Amino acid sequence: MERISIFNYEAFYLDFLEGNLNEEDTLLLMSFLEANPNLQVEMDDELPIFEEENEVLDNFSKLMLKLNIDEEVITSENVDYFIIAHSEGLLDEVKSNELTNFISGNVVLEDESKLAGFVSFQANTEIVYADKLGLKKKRKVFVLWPYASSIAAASVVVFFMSIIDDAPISVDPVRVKTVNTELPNGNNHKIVKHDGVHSSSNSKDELRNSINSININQVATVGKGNKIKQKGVDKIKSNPAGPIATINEQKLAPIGTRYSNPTNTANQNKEVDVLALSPKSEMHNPIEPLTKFVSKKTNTEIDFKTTEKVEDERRGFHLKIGKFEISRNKRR
Amino acid sequence: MTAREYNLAVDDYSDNIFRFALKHLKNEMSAKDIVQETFAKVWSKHEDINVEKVKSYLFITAYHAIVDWVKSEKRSGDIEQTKEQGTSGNVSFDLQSVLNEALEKLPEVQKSVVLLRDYEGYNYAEISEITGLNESQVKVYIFRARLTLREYLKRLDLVI
Repeated sequence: MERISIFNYEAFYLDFLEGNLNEEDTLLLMSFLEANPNLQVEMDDELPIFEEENEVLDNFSKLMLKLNIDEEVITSENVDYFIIAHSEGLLDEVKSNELTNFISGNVVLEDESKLAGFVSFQANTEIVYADKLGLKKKRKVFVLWPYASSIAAASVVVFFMSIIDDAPISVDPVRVKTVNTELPNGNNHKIVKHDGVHSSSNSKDELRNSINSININQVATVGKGNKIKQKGVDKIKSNPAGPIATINEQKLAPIGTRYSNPTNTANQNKEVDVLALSPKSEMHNPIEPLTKFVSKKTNTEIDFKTTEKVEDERRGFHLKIGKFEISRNKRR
Repeated sequence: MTAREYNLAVDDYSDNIFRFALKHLKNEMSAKDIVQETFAKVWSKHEDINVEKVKSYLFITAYHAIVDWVKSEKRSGDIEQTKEQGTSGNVSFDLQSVLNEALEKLPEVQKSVVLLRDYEGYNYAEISEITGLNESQVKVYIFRARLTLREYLKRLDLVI
C-alpha cells in the first residue's frame, strides 16, 4: 500500500507548506502529485498566517482587576487610579497626602489631577418635568353625603314607624283599661288613664262617664288615621254600653291577655300598679356606631336618639347634626 | 405607599427622572414617555413599595425603561442618528458642553452610572441596586468613564 494516497495527501501537503515535511516524505509527495496531475495542487501556495498582535490591556484596566489597590504604594503605573479615586472622594487622608506628594512638581500629573476634578456633571435644574399634575393620583375624597343621607333616611324611617306604631294604640289603651276591669267577676274595676293620670272606679256608670269624658279633640289631633279614631270614639259616645261589649269581644283580646287571667282583685290591682309605675321612655341611639363614625369623620357633633313606645307615649326622636337639631316627642 | 406619598414623590423626583432620561435619550418626548412609564409602574405596585425606598424604586424602573428604549432604538438605528447629530455640531469650549459631548461617547452603562453618581449623588451600593451591577463593576465603570472623559478633555487641549 502506498504511503501517500488521495485520502491523505492533503495532510502531507499542509505539512509541506508549513515546512514540517521531511525530505523522504517530500519526495514521496512530489512523486504522488506528478502521478495525479488532476489534483491541481500549487506547490508555491502560502498559508495565511495571522501575525501576533501587540495590543495589551492597559495598566489602568489591569489595576482595576486587582484587589486592595488602595493599599498599594502610588507609582507612575497606578497614579491615574489614585487621581480618580481622589476625585471620587475614596482616599483617606493619609493616601491623599501621599498622592499630593507624588504629583507635586510633576506638571503633567498636576494638570491631570486638575482635569479629573472637572469631569463630573451637574444637573441642570432648569430642566423640569412640566406635567407633574398629570402624573398625580387624585386622592380619595371623603364624601359626606352618603352618611348624612343614611342618617336622614334612618330618621325618616323611624319617624314613620313611630306614626304607624302609634296609630292603633291611640284609643285602645283607654278601652283596654276599661274593658279589662269589667272581666273579673263583675267587680267592675275600671282604670282610666286620662292625660297621664290613672284613676279607678267600680261602677259601669262611672266607666261610661269616663269614656264620655275623654277629650275627643285631643285624640283626634294625633297622627294619621284620626278619622278612624274619631269614628271609634263617636261610636262609643253614641252608644256607651254597646262599644264596651263590642270591644270586649272582638278587638281587645290580644292586648287583654296581659290581664287575661286575673283570678282575683289583688292580682288585678298589682297589674294596675305596674302599669301606673311603668317608667317613661328613655332616649337611646339605635344607630350609635353609624352616628359615631360619621361624627368622627366629619368632626361634627351628630346625635340621633329615639324613645321606645310606652303606654301613652308615641315613639319620639331627636336628631342633632352640628347646630341643626330636630326632635319629636308627642304624648297623648 | 399612599396616594399622598405617591404625589409627593412626583413633586420630589419627576424632574430628576426626566433629566436622567433626557440625558440618555436626547429626546424630550421619549424622556417624558419614560417618566410616565416609570411613575405608572411604580403606582401599579404602590401597595408593596415602602415610601422610604420610592426614589430608589423610581430610578430602578426608569433605568430599565431607558435600557429597553435604547435597545429598541438601536435596532431601528435611530440612536446612531442621534449620536451623529450630537457630535456634528460646532466644538464648544464651554466645559459642560464639552463634557456633554464626551458623555455621549461613553457606553450606555458607563453613562448611566456616572449620571446616577453625579446627578443624584448615589453611592456605589445604591447604583449597584439600581443597575443590577455589583459594586465592583459600578466602581470600574465609573473609573473608566472618568478616565475617558479626562482623556477627551486632554485631547481637546483645554487649558485650565
